[in-house]
Amino acid sequence: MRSIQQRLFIGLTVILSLLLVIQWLWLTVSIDRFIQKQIVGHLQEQTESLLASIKMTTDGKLFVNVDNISDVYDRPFSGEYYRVTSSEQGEWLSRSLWDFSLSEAHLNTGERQILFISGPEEQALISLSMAYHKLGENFTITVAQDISASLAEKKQFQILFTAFALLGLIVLVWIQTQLIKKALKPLQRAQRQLEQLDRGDIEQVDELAPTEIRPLLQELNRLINGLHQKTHRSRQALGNLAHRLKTELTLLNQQVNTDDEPKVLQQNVYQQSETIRLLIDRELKRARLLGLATPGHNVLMKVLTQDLVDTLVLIYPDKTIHFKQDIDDFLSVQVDREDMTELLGNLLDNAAKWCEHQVNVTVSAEQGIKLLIEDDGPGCDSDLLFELTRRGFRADESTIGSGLGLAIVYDIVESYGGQLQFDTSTLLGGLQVTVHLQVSSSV
Amino acid sequence: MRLLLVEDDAKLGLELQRALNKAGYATDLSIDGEDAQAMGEIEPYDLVVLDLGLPKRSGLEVLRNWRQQQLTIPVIILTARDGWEDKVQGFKAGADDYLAKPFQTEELLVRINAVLRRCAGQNTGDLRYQKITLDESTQTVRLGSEDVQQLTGTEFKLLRYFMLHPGKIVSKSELVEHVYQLDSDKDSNVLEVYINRLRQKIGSELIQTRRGQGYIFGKQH
Repeated sequence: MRSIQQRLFIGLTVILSLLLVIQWLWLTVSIDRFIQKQIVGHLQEQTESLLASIKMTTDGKLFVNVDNISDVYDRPFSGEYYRVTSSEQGEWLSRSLWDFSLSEAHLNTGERQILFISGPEEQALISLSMAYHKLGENFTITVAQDISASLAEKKQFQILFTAFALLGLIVLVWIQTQLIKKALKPLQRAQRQLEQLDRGDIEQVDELAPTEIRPLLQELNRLINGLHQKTHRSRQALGNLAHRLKTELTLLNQQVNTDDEPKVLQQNVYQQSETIRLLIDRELKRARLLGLATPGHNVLMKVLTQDLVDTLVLIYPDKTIHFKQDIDDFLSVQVDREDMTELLGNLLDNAAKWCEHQVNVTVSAEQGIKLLIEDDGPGCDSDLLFELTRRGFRADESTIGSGLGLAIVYDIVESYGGQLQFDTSTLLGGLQVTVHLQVSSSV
Repeated sequence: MRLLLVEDDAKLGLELQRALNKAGYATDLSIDGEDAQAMGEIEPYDLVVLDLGLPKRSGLEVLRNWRQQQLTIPVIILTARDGWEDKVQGFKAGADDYLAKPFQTEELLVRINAVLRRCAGQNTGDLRYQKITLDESTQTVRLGSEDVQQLTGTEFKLLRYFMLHPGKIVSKSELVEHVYQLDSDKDSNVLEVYINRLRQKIGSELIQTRRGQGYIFGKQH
């Protein structure tokens, strides 16, 4: 792909050149017209004075009275010529023509003709021919004028104009190039910053830039931030996992060495492997969390909830659970789909596990998104509720596999910087979980 | 009951097959997706235990293909992936149950039992018909309150099949297909011997012979 600078340069040059060529053509045509109009006016006068000079002698002979016309017609090759042709009595040529002959025009009375012809000594002439009726005869009067000087002047003007236009073009393009360079400076700055980022010299790019590229830099910073967080979380999770897994494996080894009876041993091994499974689940799920690292996709909450409800109905086939969903059909949230599925799945599963028959799900767009899950199960006593809410994200760290399955819920809510609250449902009497996530949603 | 076990891990597959056979399920083992799909289409299995991460074709795809062909065998998914997204996908594809690895064999047996019972339209718990109760963990049958009879492997398989399909005419070939696994000797004469022995244990009036059609357990619907 060509650079922006190149593109602007090429575009500008083409447009300016086109403009100058059009201007050049227009001027040339205008000059031609102007010359022609002026000269033809003069020639017209000349034909009229020539016509006036045609006289008749007393014996009926016609002649051109040269006394009344300009003496420029007498000097050889002076640049102004005439030819008067009568239908009956021959023709009169100006002396300036010398041995050159102006060709005769055949016109009817009242007609006129303008021609560009070459005259004596290679002169460029404009000739005007007009036909008149006078003294009972038809006359054709042709007057011609040398326009070589005008043409030379025109040519000179054209050369000058072209030279100035080219100069102007170069100056304009140069100025524009400087402007573009200046305008694109922030981009080069950003480019340099990216290089620095790549080398690890800086951790964030500077967002001071024109409005056109600021969103780009902001988005970049957001991604970097998210990535940092995610890497940090994954690392922590894997570290935790390694540490605790090794501890549990050591315990497993110790159990093999005891003198317990086979049945007891078997039970212990099962228990230990279950602990290890829960550990792996917990830490790997935490590592898989995306949180705000990616822009997220539009997740339709109604569809997602319905999918989960359908699944839960199959998971608890022996239970008749009525799920009441209060969700707008078109409410969608910008989150990672897997995160949201995991969050809502765990909360709904928890409710389905403990409820008698009724689970209510309410999702609404309130400063982000608010999830409300209630059940009609036994609930928790107020001390535990308070503990759950207060101790927040570390609540089941120590009681892994406590049956609440809320550890991952804490992690997800934390990774989105949201809030989690536990209450007793006033409507159903069981547990009520409220989740508030600061994500963009639309209805 | 005939089961198809689809598991690509050689060790786990063989262990499970052994355990399932011991529990009275004639189990065939398949180790890749393509093979499993074909077997499921050809053989009349009563249930499939399907691992999701399979070579050649993923378990989820196999399941979707079966369901697309209106194949309604109950399927229990076996997987190490137990995120909710995976669960939703699994059930959406048409699974009947979902078991996350690692699991204990007993748990799998309980799930298989429950799914089979559910698909036969019966309640979970011990299989009962009138006064007869089948205890699947000990492979014994209880008649009334006192009389407990130990069953041999084939007798147990036969009785369970009958009890899951009470009041229905079951042909000899159907019995053979659902009681023996692929590579075993299928002699229908031997079957008659087993059925006679079963009659001696639970009372001959419960299993009646319908000439030219097969057998019927209990009263016809």
